[in-house]
Amino acid sequence: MSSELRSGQEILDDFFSQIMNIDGVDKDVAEAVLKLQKDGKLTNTNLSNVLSSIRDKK
Amino acid sequence: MKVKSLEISGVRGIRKSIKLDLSSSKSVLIYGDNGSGKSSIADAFEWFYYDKVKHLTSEEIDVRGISALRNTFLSDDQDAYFDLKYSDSKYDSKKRLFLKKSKLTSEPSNVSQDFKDYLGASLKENLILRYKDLLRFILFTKAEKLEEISQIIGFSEVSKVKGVFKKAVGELRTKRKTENFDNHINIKQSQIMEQIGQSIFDDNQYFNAIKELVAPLNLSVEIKDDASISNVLELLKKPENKEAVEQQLSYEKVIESLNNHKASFENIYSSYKSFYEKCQQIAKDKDKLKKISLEPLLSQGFSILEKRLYEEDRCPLCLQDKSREELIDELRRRLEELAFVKKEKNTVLEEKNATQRFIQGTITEINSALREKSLLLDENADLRKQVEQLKGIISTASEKLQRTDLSEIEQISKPEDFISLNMTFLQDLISALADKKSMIITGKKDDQTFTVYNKIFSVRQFYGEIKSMKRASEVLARQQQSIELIYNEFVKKQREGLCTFLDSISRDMNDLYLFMNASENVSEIELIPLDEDDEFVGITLRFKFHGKPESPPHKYLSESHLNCLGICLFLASVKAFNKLNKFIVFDDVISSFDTNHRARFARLLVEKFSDYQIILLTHEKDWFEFLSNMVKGKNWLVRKIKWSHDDGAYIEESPSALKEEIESKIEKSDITGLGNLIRKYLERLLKDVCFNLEVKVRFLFNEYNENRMSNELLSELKNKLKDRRCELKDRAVFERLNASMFLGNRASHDSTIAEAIDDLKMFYGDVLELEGLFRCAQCNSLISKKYHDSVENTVRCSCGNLKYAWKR
Repeated sequence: MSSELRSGQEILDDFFSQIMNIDGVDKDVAEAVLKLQKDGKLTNTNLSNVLSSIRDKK
Repeated sequence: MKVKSLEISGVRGIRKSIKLDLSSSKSVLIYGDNGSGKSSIADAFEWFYYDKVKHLTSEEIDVRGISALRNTFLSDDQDAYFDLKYSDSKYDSKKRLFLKKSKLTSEPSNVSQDFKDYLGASLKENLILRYKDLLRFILFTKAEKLEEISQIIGFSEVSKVKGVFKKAVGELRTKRKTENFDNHINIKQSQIMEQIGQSIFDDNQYFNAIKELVAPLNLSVEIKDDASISNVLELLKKPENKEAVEQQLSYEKVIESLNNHKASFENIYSSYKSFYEKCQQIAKDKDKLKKISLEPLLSQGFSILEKRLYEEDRCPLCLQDKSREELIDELRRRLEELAFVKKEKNTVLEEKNATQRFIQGTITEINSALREKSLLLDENADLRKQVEQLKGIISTASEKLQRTDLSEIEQISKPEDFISLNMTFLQDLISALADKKSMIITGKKDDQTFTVYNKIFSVRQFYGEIKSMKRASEVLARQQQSIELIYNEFVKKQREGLCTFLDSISRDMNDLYLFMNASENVSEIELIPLDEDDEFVGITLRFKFHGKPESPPHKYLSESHLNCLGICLFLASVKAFNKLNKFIVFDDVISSFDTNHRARFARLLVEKFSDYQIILLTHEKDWFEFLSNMVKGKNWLVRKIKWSHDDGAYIEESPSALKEEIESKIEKSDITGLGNLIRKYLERLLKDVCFNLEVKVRFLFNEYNENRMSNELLSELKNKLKDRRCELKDRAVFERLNASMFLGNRASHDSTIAEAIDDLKMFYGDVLELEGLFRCAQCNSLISKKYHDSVENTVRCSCGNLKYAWKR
């Protein structure tokens, strides 16, 4: 693919490298999402569980 | 990466080995008649990279088409193979197809990780284009176009992640709605109001309210925090008071649950109503949902027509006359309609699930009320039964909902029949519980210590719950906001990525198309993403036709123009995707082009893709001649592929290349195949001589004419020379060649006779002598009837240096 075009994976990598900098996003939520993605476990159930766990802690 | 050389053997029509030396990154143009075996080269490439050959796959062959790939004349112990050497030798590999325990097995010689990675990466590139694949993408439905591009650029993973975020946003929204914190907080506030006649919104108001309650008791405790309030309660505590307060709070909890029940009921009712109304929309066309079951049939039909597995101009089911294009159009339209119906059905099912979630939440709340101490008292058995009745109403609704079947839409209950709440019944129940609670207080209304204890205990409990709910509500709201922000940012990035990609492809495709179709009425060809509710649902191909935006292309463009568009899309994809490989294989792609478009395509390849190595296979003779001239001096190899019964497909060597190979073998005394090479050289020479001297031979059809044997040509040539009283007629070389040809024939067939190098040298010497008789050493041209002098009665070469008598 030519340089100005980005593959799906490149788009994902770019997005997750910037996720902590999105204005207004709770740090705990962003960190949890990032960790799930890095571990290859970003699924509906896992995200729902991790958000529930954050709520319980708070 | 370019191809340095290739050798194919035993693949499809190629029985014996064919080799192409493409060193110095040569492109190659190969001409071959239909059935000559040229597509076997494209098949070999497809097998090498994808381990299957798509056009050979069928139920009757096998899913990868491999069993049809092996040449049928190979013996069991012979391997079919494709030996590819690259500009970077570490990827060189010879892939073999052989029988192992009677099972066809493919195996590459290169087992390095580098090679595996290279093959894996090559799968994402566009290497081969065949005529039948030209319209594949163009005729796809919008959703299929999106699916195809998503897969190629890895967007399916992006879509998956987006789906996770989208679902999380939806779940958090629903959770906030079902938790209904505001309602719960209001109830708690009204309970506080009931206790102390005021609401409490912050700690200051809370502490002041407690101070006021404690004041009449003149306790020596300063109310400043929760610990001091606990101290007060400790001071006022009597065992019977504690029991009474707890019982009172238990009644409060049940009353609260029943008050919530009103709101929950409204949620269930409105959610079900929405579900019911959507069902009614679908019910307007009762057959709509049934049509979804036709989708596999229609998709399969579409695929069969698109792959040209069925080419008759009539519907294969109803047998009505209809052109293939019309059938494809109609199937595409019906599939798009079905996609819409499926979406409608999913929306209805989502409403059903939402109703089910509200029901489940309500049942949980009632169960929790039923576990309260106050309802477990014997004296409250009737009240408990009434609460269970409420639960029964909800459970019945839940069962009804579970039984609903979209295929029997008329059986789905109306909202008023689905669930109804007897408000008087509920209100009476709440009042009865409130009376029970009041009785506890009434008995102790003159006990000031109890009254204060009760109020402080209750207010502390309610305010604590309010604070806890506010915190939970804030955390949930912040999570919802965070996930929504993440989702929105993600959608933005995805959109940017896809649009940049489509813009770039569209630009290239448009440029290429206009190059091939200058001054025609098509312009601004674009791939446009289609979306609904932040969701990409498809891609359409739009263009301007006579300055007016139109879509899809097959609405106006001819088959030739559509094919042209297909080639341009492929080439634009090559530019976009091919990171590793700088070669492309074209198998007979210009069949539907008129002369003008063929010329332009040739120019396009030569001018715009000069940095690519092109492997171009064609059966179009005129185009081959045209392109052969165009690529002269441009690092292209030009070859013809032919087929013979004995050898299968073979590459016809140019005379100079043949001569070079013969002389090299003679120098090395290598007799392998030498006799056959000399025979081929003699045949080529005799054909050229006979053509130039207009030697007549017996009539033969098509390829049989091309496959004439040397002895026939030699014999007729001699007859012609005699007839024209040419001085060459008695040359001894003719007789010697007649004898030597036996060697050439023997060497090209299975034979037990081993030829000797000296015999072959002699044979070749005779061939060269024959050539010397007819070819001028000075101008290198053959004597020809073109230069017949009817006055002198001679024929000569072009320069006139070689001249013979040619009399009537």
